[in-house]
Amino acid sequence: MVHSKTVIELRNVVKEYILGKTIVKALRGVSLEIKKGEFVIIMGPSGSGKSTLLHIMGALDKPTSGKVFINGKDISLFDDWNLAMLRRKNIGFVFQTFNLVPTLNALENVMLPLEPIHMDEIEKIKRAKELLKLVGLEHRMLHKPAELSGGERQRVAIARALVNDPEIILADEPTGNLDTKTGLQIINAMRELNKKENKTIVIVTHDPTLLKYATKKVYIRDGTVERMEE
Amino acid sequence: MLKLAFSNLLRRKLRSTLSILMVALGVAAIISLTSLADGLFLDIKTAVSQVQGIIIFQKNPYGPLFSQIDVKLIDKIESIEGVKKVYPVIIQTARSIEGKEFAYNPKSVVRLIGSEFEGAGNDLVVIKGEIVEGRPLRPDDRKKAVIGIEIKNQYNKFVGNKIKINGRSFEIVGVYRCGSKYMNRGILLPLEDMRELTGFPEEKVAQLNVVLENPSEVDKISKLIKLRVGDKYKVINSSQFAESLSEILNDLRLFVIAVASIAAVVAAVGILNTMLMNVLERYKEIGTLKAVGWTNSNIVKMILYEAMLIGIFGGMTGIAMGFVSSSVLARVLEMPTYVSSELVVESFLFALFIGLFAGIYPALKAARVNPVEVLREE
Repeated sequence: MVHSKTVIELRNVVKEYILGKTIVKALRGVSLEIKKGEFVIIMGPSGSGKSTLLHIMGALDKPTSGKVFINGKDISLFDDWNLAMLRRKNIGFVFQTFNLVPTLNALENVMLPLEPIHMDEIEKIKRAKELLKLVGLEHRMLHKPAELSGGERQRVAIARALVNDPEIILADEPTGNLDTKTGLQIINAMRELNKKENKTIVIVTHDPTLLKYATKKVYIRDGTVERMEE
Repeated sequence: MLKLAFSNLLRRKLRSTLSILMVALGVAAIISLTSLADGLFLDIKTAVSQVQGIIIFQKNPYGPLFSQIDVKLIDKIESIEGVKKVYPVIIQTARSIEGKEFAYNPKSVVRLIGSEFEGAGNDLVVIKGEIVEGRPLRPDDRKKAVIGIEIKNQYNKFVGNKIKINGRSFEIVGVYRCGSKYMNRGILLPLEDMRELTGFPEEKVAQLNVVLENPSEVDKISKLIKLRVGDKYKVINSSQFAESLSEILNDLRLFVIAVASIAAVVAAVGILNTMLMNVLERYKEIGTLKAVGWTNSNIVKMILYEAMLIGIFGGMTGIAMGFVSSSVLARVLEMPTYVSSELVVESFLFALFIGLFAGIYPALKAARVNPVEVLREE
């Protein structure tokens, strides 16, 4: 039985890729438990499997073997549609390269996850504006990504990740493309979300300066959890 | 979603415009060709509807133009009850008018119609029309002609003037007008003059026009005539004539459909190419959309909307271009064109269908994008 407060649980997750003729073992039996409201930093060198781990936690990828539970549900039994629905409702992704749509302005980018949802257009705009305000970008909402700084773009991406009000935010190197000062601002924004909104935050990074903010630190190397610190 | 699809098309304005243009050209080609075929059909149909009663001509492999009928058949048919009169008719196209020879050209051809005329009232015997100037031909007329209104206007002729047909001079005694522009380019001549003029064999005519006592008996009497004359002759009334003509015109429509199919393939390949490029360029974005909770069907829908929008804009542009090109064709070829509302609706649906159809493969390709793979490429 999964603990009621656990939002993500991985049990002996193995992930293998076929790259040409070789089998790449990205994860070699990872077990991990993340509770609601935790601020988790997953730390590891590049190629250690941390991004794969994040994708599996975010229901974007399926493990080769092992089990993944999100809110107590075994998602290995989910089909594509159910996985998409799970991501839509429970998970917000933030990427290193922001992945904003260049032709849409900040507001429209934030509204993208709401696009397939049956919801009043005015309501969607209201919701997106609220979140841009939350990340301090209400005055920049009609600007296109090219007109925004790196930090501003990442804040738009965070607002986009939050627009469906997910309980889990997964961030893949969110400060990787930002200078130290801007990176810190982004981390602070995420800490605030964690404290005020009780969002569960999982950040994958190889930047050790971020570790001090974590409530849980997971060190990963060669596809296995090397150690974990609460 | 539609708004998003629209803004996606605006990203590559030149590419989108080119594929819209491809669809538009296809639609315009279909509209102008069909309007030409429809216009021709409509004109010939009206022309045929100007023909009175039942027409009999010889069945032969070369078509009604080469029909020859023995005049002895007239008595045989006139003895059938309900038949009022049978008129022998010779129809040919003029070789020259006013000394000017003309090569065959549907827009300038002049029909010579020779028959026995009664001279009573406005009856033109072979055409449902009326005398607008002068008088009809009488049985004893020789070297006299009644000309169609189009001929009068073209050659600036009046009653009392002479007109040279195939090199021989005729006095104009009247001018007629009927409901078809095509048939208004005709000249009525006494049968024997016509025979001399065209060298049609003695005791033969091209067709027989049967006038009935009661026009409503046309079907019944057609059957009786068929029994009497045997299967060497074709017996039709004007509505059947129109039908057999429309069979010929269906061939023309087939040609139009062939052109349309080529246009469809070209347009579809154009959209397919555009949409595939759009999808390939946006793999990462599609992966991101999936990560933020878009389902495969949401992705399919977005791409199909984009393709459909190309179809819609292409269709609308094509319809506008089609109207212009069909009126230009009408002017240049001096042939009637007719753009029906059905044609407009059909071409629009055609463009929409092409868009949707060509969007299917790119949409499925987009739906198959593996977000993990495309997002890993960071």
